[in-house]
Amino acid sequence: MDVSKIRTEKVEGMFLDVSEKREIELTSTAFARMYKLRLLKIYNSAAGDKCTVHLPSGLESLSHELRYLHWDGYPLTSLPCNFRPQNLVELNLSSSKVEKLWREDQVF
Amino acid sequence: MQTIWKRLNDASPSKLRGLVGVDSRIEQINKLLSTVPSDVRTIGIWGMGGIGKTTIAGAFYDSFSSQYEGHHFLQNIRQESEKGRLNDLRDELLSKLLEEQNLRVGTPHIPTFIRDRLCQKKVLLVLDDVNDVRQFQHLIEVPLIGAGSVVVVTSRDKQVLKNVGDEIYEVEELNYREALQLFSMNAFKETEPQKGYMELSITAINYAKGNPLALRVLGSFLFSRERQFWESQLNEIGSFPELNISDLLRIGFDTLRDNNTKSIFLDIACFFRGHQVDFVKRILDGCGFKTDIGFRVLIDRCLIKISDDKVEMHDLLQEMALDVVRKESLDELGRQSRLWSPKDVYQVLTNNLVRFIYPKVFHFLCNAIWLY
Repeated sequence: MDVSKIRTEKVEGMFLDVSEKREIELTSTAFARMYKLRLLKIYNSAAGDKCTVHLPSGLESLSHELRYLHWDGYPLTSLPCNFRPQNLVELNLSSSKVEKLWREDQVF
Repeated sequence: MQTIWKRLNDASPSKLRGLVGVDSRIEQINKLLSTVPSDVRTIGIWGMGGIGKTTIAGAFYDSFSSQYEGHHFLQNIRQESEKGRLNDLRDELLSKLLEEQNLRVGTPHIPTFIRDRLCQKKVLLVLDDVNDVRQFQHLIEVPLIGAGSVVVVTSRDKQVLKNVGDEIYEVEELNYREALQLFSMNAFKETEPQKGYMELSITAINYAKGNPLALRVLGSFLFSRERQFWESQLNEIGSFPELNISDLLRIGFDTLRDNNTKSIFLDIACFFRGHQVDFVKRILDGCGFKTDIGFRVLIDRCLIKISDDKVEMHDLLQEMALDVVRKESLDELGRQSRLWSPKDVYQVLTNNLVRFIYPKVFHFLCNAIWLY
């Protein structure tokens, strides 16, 4: 399959239970084309909030449409710098490495 | 005083309202139970999806739990087990039966001091939706509970019940009279069809083949609609070559009048089944949906229900909803609006150039091959 042709614009909700896989690594553009994504949850049903999703080259973007963002063990220290959180109603980043949600100079 | 309150609550007849044909089925269960000679009796309730296994088990529990020293109704065991929550369920069960809050066992075997207490108690226990004998064995050891105890197990899988139950009660379809009553309660909010609607109602109940879930969904979507709507919808249903229950449930969804309500239903089915109502409403409100009206319509149409402040839906309705979403795009997952199965999500993310990190053994093998 030609991966470059995969379109993901239609995805509005995505829940990922990582309990079946040990660890996964995502590229920085993993969510780049999901413009409509409004519900995103990454969790481990078998081991509480132990979640091993790696983002070795960071995360470029997340949909501005996100209303619900739940990411157990989010591996980075901040959310993407261009992420606009004004639509968020629920943010849950338990056991994450987040120090700062967004940069101070970020304009919403 | 507390005990009296507890008993009053347990016996609340309101829980039994709106049920048709349940009393006679409970009677049959009691009859079967009376034939089992052992001290602890286990009875299985078996039947197809939507036939009313959980409803009957619930009504049985509501009617008799006050006669036991301890009782508990464990719901959705198959689902919870898939989430790896069997140990939590067992802790919940032991806490309830021994009336101790937050009992945590944490070991595979139940400690002696708990065993000693349990075996003196006469309990009523319902294990709802078991699909593997091991779930049963994990949750309860029959010799462990006191004489006179009753365990009711519901399952779609007869083989499971053969392995764990002394007797199996097979839930029959509603008979003509019962089906007409249940249908009328949903289609007319009365116990029988309104004048001039008898023939159409009979056509409808023939399609539902005595399945209570189908009767409720079908009845409530026809409620307060004009005669012409009834005729055209029933004609259309009649044109299905091999009509089955899921086709009827699908019509309940297709005939929802606005996309707002449809989206709410699909979001709940894919992501929020069993979550707290307030939480789900807050998020869906945030998505711009009109949740108050949407929830009201879905409840009226028997597509979801609220129980213990959680949003619930019937397995068959969830299966129907997931099928609706899958059919949005059969060939390309990224064209689907919602993704919930790990396999599909991985694939979509993989197509965005995701790589799995292989276990150490694999690295070792790769290195070994490289060295050669």
